[in-house]
Amino acid sequence: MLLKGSKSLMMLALVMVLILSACSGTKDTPAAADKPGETKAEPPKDEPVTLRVFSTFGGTDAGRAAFQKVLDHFTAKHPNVTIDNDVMSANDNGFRTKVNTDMNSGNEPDLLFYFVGADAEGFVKAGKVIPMNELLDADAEWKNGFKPDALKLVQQKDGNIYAIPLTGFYEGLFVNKAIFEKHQLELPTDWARLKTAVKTLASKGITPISAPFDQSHYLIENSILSAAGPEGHHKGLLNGIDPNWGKGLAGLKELYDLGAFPKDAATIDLNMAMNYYSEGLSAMIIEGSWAINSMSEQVRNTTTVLPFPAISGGVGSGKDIIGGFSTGFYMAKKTYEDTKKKDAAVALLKHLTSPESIKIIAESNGGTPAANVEVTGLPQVALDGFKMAADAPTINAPIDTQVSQETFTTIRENIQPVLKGSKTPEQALEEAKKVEENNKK
Amino acid sequence: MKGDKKYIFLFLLPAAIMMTTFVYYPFFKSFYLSFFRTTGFFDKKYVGLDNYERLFSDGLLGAATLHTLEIMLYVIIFQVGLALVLAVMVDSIRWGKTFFRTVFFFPIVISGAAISLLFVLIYNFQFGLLNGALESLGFDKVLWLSENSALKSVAIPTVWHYVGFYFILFLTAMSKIPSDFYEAAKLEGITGIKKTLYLTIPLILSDIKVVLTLAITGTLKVFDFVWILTRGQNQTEVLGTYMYKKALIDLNFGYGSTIAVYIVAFGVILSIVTNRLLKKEEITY
Amino acid sequence: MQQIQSVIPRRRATRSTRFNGGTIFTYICLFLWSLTTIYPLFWLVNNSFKLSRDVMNNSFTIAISPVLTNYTTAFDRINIGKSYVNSLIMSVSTVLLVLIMGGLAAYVIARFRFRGRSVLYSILVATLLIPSFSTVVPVYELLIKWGIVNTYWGLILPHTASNLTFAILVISGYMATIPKDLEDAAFMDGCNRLNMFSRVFLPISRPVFASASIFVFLWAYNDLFSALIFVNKDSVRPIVALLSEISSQYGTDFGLMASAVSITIIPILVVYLFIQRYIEKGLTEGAIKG
Repeated sequence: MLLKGSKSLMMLALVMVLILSACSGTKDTPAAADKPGETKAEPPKDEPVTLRVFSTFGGTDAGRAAFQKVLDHFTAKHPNVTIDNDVMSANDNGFRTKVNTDMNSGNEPDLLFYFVGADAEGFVKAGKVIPMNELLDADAEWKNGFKPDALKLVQQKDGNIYAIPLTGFYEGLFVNKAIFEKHQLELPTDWARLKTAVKTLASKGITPISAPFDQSHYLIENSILSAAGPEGHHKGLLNGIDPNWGKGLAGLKELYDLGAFPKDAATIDLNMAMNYYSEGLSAMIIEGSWAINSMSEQVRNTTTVLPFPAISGGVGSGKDIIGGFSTGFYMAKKTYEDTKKKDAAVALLKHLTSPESIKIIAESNGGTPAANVEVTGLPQVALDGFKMAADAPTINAPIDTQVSQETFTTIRENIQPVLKGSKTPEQALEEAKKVEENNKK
Repeated sequence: MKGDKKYIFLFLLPAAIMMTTFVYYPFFKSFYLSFFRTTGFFDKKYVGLDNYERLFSDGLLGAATLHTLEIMLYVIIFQVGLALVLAVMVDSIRWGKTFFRTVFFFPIVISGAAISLLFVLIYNFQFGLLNGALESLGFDKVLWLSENSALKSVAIPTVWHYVGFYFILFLTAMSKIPSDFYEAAKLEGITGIKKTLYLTIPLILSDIKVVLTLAITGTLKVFDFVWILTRGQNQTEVLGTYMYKKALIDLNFGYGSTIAVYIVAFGVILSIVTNRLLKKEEITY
Repeated sequence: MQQIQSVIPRRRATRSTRFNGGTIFTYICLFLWSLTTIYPLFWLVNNSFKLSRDVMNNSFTIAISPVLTNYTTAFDRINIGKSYVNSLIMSVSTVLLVLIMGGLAAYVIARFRFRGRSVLYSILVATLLIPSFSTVVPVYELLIKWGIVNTYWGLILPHTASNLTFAILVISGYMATIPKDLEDAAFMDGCNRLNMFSRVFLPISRPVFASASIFVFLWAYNDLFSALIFVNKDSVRPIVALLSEISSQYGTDFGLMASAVSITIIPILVVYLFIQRYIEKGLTEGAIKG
């Protein structure tokens, strides 16, 4: 499993980092320093420096203003640094393209806020960003500011930390308590109760669970986790199909047959699904912690969040959740090796990921903070969510960070046929497995 | 004409340089990718013709092709047809030309994404405009984007959005017909529909060909409406959305590029066939 | 379009006497269609005065108590004035380049007979089909290499290239059926090809140049994808980037989207209205006298 095996990997990685940095120490600077518009080869102290920070804190992102504030704090303290706050919405299909092309063509941002895991694998392997282990170890105060879990969850496959996290997320079953009370239903804390609730609500003309079939990411991740348990959930598809995965999808079909999903689930997207929930048209939704921000206030106030219950017949505990720290700040190797920029960039990185900054960001976007700070001013459901995460025996990275995107798409595409009964869960997973094998060949 | 070669070369050169640099060279780079299995932006592995083999056994691609062809049929009949009818009508009236020319242009200006949102809210099952009307009249709600009807429901905004585009191209084309042609026709008693069929259409045939080429190639790239209204579900996957999913969601550029090559080849064949069909009837004056 | 003008009075002189059923039918059809094209614009502007939640759930009611939140947010987020200027500079430059390069190429394709002409035509059709995702990365790499990312040229050049095909096809389609006598007459006068292009074909083809320029302008102006990648920087960012300022990983604000689209397109429509008149008045002298 990801979390357990990582310690020995980390040791190994540390050794590797030491070796690597020993090499890079000798052939330090000149390569990177010829960007136009910058002053050349002078002593580094307090020279004006421009740092380009590329992040997703733009648009209507809840953390946008908070992030700008954090940057402003830094420039107030370091007047010689100009920050080029480059943003792009993570929703834009150009975001990944731009980040990766920048990485590929020598146009790296100095600091990049980006996904960890499979998305970053390419430029990490290509050595475009630096491993942070050494930096972290050298600054105990900075390192100790983080929750140890948070730093573990942002490790890449090689066990190194390349990205320093800010806030994390969790997924769960968001429940509108008001609707449950009105129909005298018990909260869906186990599979039987969930089924009862679905049956009752459907008969009353209320959509039980708002969910789209195409963007069924959360449905799939949570049902498989709740049927296969953390270990099975992490197996992926390369070494045979864990039969419990099929049970997860079969569980969804069971719910579908009871009338759990919206009539138009095939064609709506996540926004519309959220809208149904937010307008009280549906009683439950499986979503991530970010969704709290998009609920109407009325519904938000009566919402709580639970782990998706264990599907009967599976091996899940019903307490494990999907979540983690899926984004963080990377530093370009080019920047790190540039003596003029290095100090300023490191200082900025430490500032952005200090407990104070993390607190400001977490308060704005409701994510789980990566540092040990108390976040105030959040609605009850967010606090319920933190408690759920704290009580969870394991927090698991979603499946789509472990199988290739194409494999995951194949599973998503098969949700509708599986629910309607034109394909069995086993057939669907078999198809996905083939795609996975082709991808990893 | 004498010295034509020089002019052919000189006149084509700027456009050729531009397009080679920014279109063909990049496209050949991705054509090259179609022989690789790619994962993300950094990993690629040579796989020979694997992607092309996959292309021919890919059931989803076949379905997407058929759906695209169905939409193409609607586009040619309704979009181009309607545009031609409207252009003939506006060309024949006296008052309000400018008005119609302006308002028919409106939809094109509004982005496909915004128009799609309008139609999401028209078709929505729970509270959409259509179902709201049905309910208030005492009928049952209808699933407008069901497996049987979704493609047609998606085709409606697709067709409607760009009628104004072809309308303006047709109207522009008609402006080159010399006035004495119409006068001569009038003297011979050719008016109304006859005039349109025997005079106007033959005289703008080269423009009609261009319009058909644009319509065919445009349909092969249809994306916005399908993506936002149905996300390609319920039998509405088209080539544009399928390619997008493979290339930009799955980040499988190798196969995505293979699909791009397929679309280009398919489109060229379709438009060559169309032009052959029309060639026989070409009239020069 | 000017030719219509020159044609119509003569045609109408005889016809206006009988205002028949056909004409009424024509007007009814045109009005009905115009309702379908006017309504979305009204819908869009109307919804720009609502909050996102109301757009989602009550988009077809009139915003009786309009909220300006969307507009204030939009104006806060982006330097609107500067962005209009950026948009205008880049789109107009694109149009000019496309018309010059495209016009010359179209002239060759329409009026010259040479080997490989039909191949060239097929290549053009193929070009229309090349998806932007397959060109964007190599183009971006080129722009980085040349150091013109986040400059006006960084968007003008790729846009010019991607709109050339459309312009060449439409302009050559128009030029193809221009009467041959005109060409012959000019040839007799001792024109060479360049003169013939500028003295005969350019004036006659003004309507198609006008139409092509409108669409090229529109596409260059509205293209968000390239703008975000090639010129994503305050100093050069075009107005359409405002749209991207409204979506994020936390969902989409539909009210804000409506206002951003409105802000983007209203000036276009105003300009279009203005250009319409200009086209009609200014081009009359270019008409084919027949």
